[in-house]
Amino acid sequence: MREKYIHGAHQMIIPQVLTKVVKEDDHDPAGPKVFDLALFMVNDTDILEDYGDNVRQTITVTNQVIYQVMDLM
Amino acid sequence: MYVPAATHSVLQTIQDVNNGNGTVTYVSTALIQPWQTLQYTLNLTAVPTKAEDGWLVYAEISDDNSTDPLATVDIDSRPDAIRNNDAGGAVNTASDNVVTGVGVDKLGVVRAAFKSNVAATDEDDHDPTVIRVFDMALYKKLKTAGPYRYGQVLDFDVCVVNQGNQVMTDVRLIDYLPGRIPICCSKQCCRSMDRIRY
Repeated sequence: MREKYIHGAHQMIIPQVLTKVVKEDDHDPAGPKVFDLALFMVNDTDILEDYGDNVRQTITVTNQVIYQVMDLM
Repeated sequence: MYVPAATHSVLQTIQDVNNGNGTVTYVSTALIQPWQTLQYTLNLTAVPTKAEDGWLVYAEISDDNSTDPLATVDIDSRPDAIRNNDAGGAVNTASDNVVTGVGVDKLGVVRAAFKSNVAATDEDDHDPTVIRVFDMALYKKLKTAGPYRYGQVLDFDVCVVNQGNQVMTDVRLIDYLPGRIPICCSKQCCRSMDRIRY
C-alpha cells in the first residue's frame, strides 16, 4: 500500500488483493483546487451610548474552499 | 457528487499591531482548514468626529497564502491593503456581510465599484461596519448687529445640527424667552407666554 496526493485529495492506492476488503476500485474522487477566503465584520455594539465607550466588532474569516467530488459510474 | 460542507469555528488568539496610520494589522499563522473560520475581535474607542464616514470601519484580508503551491490565487477576490479598491461593501445594504459575492473576474478585474450595493459582485474579502451614533446639537446666535434700541426687531438664528450618522426627522424645538417680550416669528411657530415651539 502506498499513498499519493491527486488534486488535493488524499487517496490510498491499494493493491488489488486488498481492494475487496478495504476499497472499491470502481469508485474514485476528483475535484478542482479552490482557494477562497472570505471575511465579514459585524458590530457587537448596536448604538453608541457615550463618546469614549469601547465599541467591539467581530471579524470572521472563513476558508470557503469547496471540494467537489465526482464519481464516475 | 459529494459536497462536504461541514463547518466549524475556532476562537483564535491573535497578534494585532496598531500601525498608527489609521490601520490595525492582525497576523495569524494558524492553518485554516476548509470551512473553518477564524474570529477576531476589534476594540475601538468612539470619539466625536465631523469627518464623513467617521465611524465607518472596514476590514480586509491584506495577504493570504495557501499551503498548496498550485492554488495560490483567491478565486473571487484580491487581497491588498487598499481600502477603497474593492467591489461592493456598502454598509447596511445588500452588499454588507456578504461572503458569496464574486468581486473580481479570473483576470483580477474588479466587477463593480467600491460601495456598490450589489451582493453578487461584492468582493468577499472586504467588509464594512458602521458605529451608529445619535447626536443632535443646537446653537443659537443673535443675527442683528448692535447697537440696539428699544422697540427694535432682533433676529436670531437657531440651527440644529445632526452630528451623528442617523437620518433624523420630526425635530421639535422650544425657545425659552427672557420674560414677556414681543415675538415676531419668521417661520411657523406656536408661541405662549414664555416660550416658542417650532
